[in-house]
Amino acid sequence: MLAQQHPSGQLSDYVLDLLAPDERRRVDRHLERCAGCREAVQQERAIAHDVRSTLIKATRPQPARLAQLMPPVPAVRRRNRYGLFLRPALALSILLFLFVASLHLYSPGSNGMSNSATATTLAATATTTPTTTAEPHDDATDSANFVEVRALRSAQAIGTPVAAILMMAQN
Amino acid sequence: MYWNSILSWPAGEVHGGEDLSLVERCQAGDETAFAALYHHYAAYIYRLTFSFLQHREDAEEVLQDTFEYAFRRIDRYDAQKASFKTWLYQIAVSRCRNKRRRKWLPTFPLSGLGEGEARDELTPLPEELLALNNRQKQIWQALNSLSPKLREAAVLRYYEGLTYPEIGQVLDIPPKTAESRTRLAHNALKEILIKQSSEGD
Ligand SMILES: [Zn+2]
Repeated sequence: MLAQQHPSGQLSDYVLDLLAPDERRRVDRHLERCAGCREAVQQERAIAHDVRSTLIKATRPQPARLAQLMPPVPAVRRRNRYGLFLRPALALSILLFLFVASLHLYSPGSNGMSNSATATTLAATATTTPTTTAEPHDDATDSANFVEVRALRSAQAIGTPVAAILMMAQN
Repeated sequence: MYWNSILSWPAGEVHGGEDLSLVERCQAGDETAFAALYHHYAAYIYRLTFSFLQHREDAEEVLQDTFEYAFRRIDRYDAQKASFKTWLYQIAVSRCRNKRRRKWLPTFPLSGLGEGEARDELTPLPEELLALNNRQKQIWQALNSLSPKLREAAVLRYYEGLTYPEIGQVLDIPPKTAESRTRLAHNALKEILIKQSSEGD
């Protein structure tokens, strides 16, 4: 009955999915009966289709080129990864050092003799450090080694005054 | 390969799934995740920036800018606010606009392309564009003659297949504005193409 009222002005909105549901149903019913409007709808759809196929073809990337274009990963992130470990490691080494230093300060044998003994032990420890630093260079392991060596030195530093007193007693 | 699967975004990319865990790994500082994320999305972003700017070198530059920024600001991505795709698109769109502004972008020299003669010898076309058939060259040229705002809407609708609310989110405009821009772009393209084909006859 309304076959001659072509919804020409609504066909682009129809294709773009911009019609309200009731308007859309009305256009649908019209299209069932009108070959002219079906043809017009096909032309509207061809625009969308052709834009798509054109862009797919025109903007095709070269995988090798894209790989070249990757920006570097921000340096901050790399530090953060070790930061999670480094900070506690540093805090631990400082704590250990302070603890050991306080022990050393109040130990009964802290006199001139024991100081020179400490110096020799430190020299001896220094010769052992290359074995630890020979490991692969990594901030985290370096810091772990640092803690280890510091603890070892401190233990020896406490031990030497005791050994010195024993030696004096033997003589 | 991931580069070739261009026609649609990977399923389940919006929330959760593989992408989100990749993003989370980046946020936790996992370097390999950054590379994986780039390989996953670079082709999409490149196609988007190339479609917006219609200039290959500019598209490459904006692709790099987009990821450089996204890598640096990955901590700011909030999955509650937008899908990762949308977030990347938003970054790419603003970078394209900056690029255009900085360059005062002259339209890509395609005049005469349809006729295939009288081309400027100093600006050879990238091979991708030489591969286009006549209809596709007309389309490329028609897109080029749209205003950047309309071109953005047309690309996001026809090429990316986004909904109007999604287009609005990417372009930072209300959905109704996204609808009207898409309608304007469609009608402008139709008019240009009709004119072109009548001139060709
Ligand atoms: Zn009709």
